[in-house]
Amino acid sequence: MALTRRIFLRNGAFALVGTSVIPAFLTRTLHAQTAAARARGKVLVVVFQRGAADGLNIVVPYREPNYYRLRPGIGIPQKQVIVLDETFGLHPALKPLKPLWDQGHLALVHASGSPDPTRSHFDAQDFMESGTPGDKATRTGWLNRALSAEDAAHDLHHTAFRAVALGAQLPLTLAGPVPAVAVSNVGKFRVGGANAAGDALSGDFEAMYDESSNAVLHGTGREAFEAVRALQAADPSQYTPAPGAHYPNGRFGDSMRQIAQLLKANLGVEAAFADIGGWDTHQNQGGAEGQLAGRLAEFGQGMAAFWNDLGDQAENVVLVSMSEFGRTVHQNGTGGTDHGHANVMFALGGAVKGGRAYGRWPGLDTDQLYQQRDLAITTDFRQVLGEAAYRTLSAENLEKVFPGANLQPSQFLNLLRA
Amino acid sequence: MKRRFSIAMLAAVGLMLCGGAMGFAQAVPSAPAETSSTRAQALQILDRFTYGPQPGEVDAVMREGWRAWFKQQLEPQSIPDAEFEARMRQFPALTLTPSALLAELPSAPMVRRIADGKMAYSGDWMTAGLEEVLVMKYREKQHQKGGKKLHDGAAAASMQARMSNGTDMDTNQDGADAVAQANGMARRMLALPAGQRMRAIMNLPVEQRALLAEKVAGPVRQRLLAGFAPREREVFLAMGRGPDAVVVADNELQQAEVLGAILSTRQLQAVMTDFWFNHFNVYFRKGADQWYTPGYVREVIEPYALDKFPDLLLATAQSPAMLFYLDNWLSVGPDSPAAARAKDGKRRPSGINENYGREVMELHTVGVEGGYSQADVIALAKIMTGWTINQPYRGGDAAYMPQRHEPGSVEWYGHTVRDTGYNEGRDALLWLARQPATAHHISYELAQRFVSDDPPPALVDAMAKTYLRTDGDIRKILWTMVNRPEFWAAKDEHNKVKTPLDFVASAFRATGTYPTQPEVLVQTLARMGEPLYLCLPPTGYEWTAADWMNTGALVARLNFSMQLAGDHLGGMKLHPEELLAEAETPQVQPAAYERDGNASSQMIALEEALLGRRASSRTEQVIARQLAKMPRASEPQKIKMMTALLLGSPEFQMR
Repeated sequence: MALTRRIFLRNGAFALVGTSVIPAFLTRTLHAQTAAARARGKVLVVVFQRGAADGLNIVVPYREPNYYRLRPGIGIPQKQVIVLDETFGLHPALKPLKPLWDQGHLALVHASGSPDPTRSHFDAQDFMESGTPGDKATRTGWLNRALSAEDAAHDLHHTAFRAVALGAQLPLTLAGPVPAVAVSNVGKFRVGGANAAGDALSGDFEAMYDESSNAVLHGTGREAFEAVRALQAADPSQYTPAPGAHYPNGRFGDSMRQIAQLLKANLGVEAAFADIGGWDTHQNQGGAEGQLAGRLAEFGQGMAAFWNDLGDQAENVVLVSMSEFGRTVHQNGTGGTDHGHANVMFALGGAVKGGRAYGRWPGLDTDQLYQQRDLAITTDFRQVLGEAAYRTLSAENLEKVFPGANLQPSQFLNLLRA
Repeated sequence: MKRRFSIAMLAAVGLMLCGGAMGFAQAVPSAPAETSSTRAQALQILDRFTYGPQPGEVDAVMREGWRAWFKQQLEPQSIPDAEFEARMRQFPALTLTPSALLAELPSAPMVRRIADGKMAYSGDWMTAGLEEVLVMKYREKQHQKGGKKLHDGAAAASMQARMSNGTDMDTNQDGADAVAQANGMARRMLALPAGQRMRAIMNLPVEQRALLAEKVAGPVRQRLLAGFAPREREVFLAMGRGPDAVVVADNELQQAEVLGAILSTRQLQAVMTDFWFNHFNVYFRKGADQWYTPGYVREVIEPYALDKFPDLLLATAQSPAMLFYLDNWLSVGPDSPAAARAKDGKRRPSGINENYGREVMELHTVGVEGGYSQADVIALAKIMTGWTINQPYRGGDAAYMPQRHEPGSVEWYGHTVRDTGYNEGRDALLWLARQPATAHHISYELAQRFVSDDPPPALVDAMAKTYLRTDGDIRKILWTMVNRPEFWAAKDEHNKVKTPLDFVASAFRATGTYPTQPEVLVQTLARMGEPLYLCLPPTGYEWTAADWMNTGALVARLNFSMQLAGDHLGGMKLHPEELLAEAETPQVQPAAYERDGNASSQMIALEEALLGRRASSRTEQVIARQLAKMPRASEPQKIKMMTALLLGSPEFQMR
């Protein structure tokens, strides 16, 4: 098969740009050569399901009689669940994820979440993104602090695209002193139009900022033009996903495709963020089919397409998903569920010891529930994210990443290979 | 449009000169040694306390003297504001009480209730017509979610046509047909006398009405909207959206802030309203805040923005917007009568909500280092129980309900607070407002916004002293600030990075461009990272460089500069020759400037107009080089290019 590749020199190392399929031997050689520039090469991708996704219908405890008793209308019938192990099964709409589970790349942590009792979307998202449940004054995100922690321990060169969020604004997760870029459209990320006049002015601006005496402007200017140049060199308009990567239509599919695009362009992305909304199913959420099923189809297809698109690079990527809290065990009077507590998190990646569920399942008997209505939390979400930050980003100072959580590597779930 | 703007602006400047208490013959008082010149003083005061100088404004303030200008700005009611007020008349929804607002522009929960038959349609024909459309859209959404089916085949087909997206890559014939159909209907409406159009639209079948409102596009749409009375326009826009109508009012609030920043003559009030809203932040898409926020800005923040801090604090504490946003309306004393009743009725046990108790100390008054403990947070939350809202989902008023109040005395912040009901909360807030820690916290924030990211301690201390001496008189604190040498220190001139709102507004003001389409600018600001009224956490947006200067933001600002100069900003036009004509001031004496061969007098005049001062020699060099590449360009083209480069320059990012 024809390979299209362009190789250019960057900071004394080779970088492979704009390829979709790389022969394995070539990858290994190049990796050895890029080792000097980026010691780790690993990437942490964060996906936030905004609106409190219904974890109990996403990963179904299909052997719990209480589940069926309390969800007579919206429970997923045992026959339709995609069995994962003796306790859990996937919602049928998540069929694209089953191969990833079987291949050992996908793990799950059920009954996980934030200990804070708030049932406010706004507050809970805040707490999960800042990584400090209960403290609203935190202005930085855990992922930005993780990158800071990495810097404190390792002195490496970083590119303008080190931390990327897909969307118009930078999410709280990535807010902080480490520079992060919010991109809503990779193909349009440039100064001026794609024409000679725009390019001319772009060059003028670059010259002005290059000699600005203001340190912040000078630094930002340099980063911005570097980022735009790096991205344009990767020729984003020519990008085609790998064969077998079928992204769903819609914003989430677009986001995941663009993240894959950025990762494969070897722009030095270390952390990436995407979110997906529409999970707040108070009414009429449906069971094996319906509203939630529709969201899950998009979610599952997006994740699977992303994985397949990455090809060989998937080895270096860890993706974690989360939602601000879960939903009530019982269905409500309008065919939906209300705000709950614990939820399910996924971890997908080359380093993930997948094909199994982590954490302790607390059960759904009334006395096992939180406030007698919600799934109880047995794993703090920071355990999962802390391990991901520690092992993927080499963020060794966990107190800095999650202050007050008292995380110890010896107590990790060990869902990632060290 | 542009003519009207510049005449109004000159009139305002003239009025300022006439209205100045000391008259324009007053000599500018001698300034402390650090100031460089009187022109620099005028620029500094305008940079700090307006959204950017307009052409000619620096000179006007020089003649009047910065003190006279500032004193007048401290009394905004004494300044006529005709242009801005005229624009605000386009937004009648913003003048309504919350319940009246909901009655005209229903919320999503209301639409659901109507759809479920639990609430009647409005008795007003226009509102009822709007509600019919929203109910239809609500039912469609339920159908899409796999619930109930639509019974009507025609309705289903119409929904299909309306659901098709008009994206660049979409060659969906349904989409194009929908627009054509909608435009056809619009033209038939336009054939009617303007006063009859809305009635005719409401007489259309519901699906057609929705199709028209959603899909009408291009010049036809502009003509149709222009022919509506303001309330009719609001209703029409609401029919084009969904699932609720109140979002139209929220969007108007955002537009009003942009328009005020660009057009209002009461600039100090605009700047301070923005400052205090940020300090007492609410997120206007949170539940009932959707309909409480306009009133919050209009009746709480703006009127008290230059008043006394304790009064402002109390007003926010009593506002439904704040009570809802920080959940205090839900907070119930565990031993209160209301809690006892709830337990008996087997409803979910409710209790204290600590949000407001914590944030009012941490963010609004004494600050994180205020010296309070977690126990104090809980105690204050108990003190504040009972401060709630009567039927928030119907836009009810804030109210104190004694049955929700936690009985008994409470230990708080070293005091024993006895049970005096409502007064407990009032006294606690006033006590907090009068603490030295609060004086310091507020003074620091003000100094950070108006002087430097890292304000000199001496300045903050002086302001805090004034605060304590005057019981938090904001006018007097500002007056202390501007009379301090630190305010005028040369090293801190032009050192503050403009927020996106500062940047966009100053670009319009400096170029004299008229903001015909503020809704475009609202989206621009969101892309630059400052979606107005949409700051989720109560900490509000920051005032420091790191928050506003990052890769994505800079790219957005550069692109904006090119769009504005190149007339690509939704039809809002730059008028190059006029810009230059207004820019030519008697002060431009070629001999007074060093000539390094790069800067023509025209370039200097433009720099003075846009930046208020000379640009750096590097910037001038870049511009001169670009000019040299376009020898055959017309004058307007050259000015547009120079404007694009100046607006995107590092200098213009600072105030």
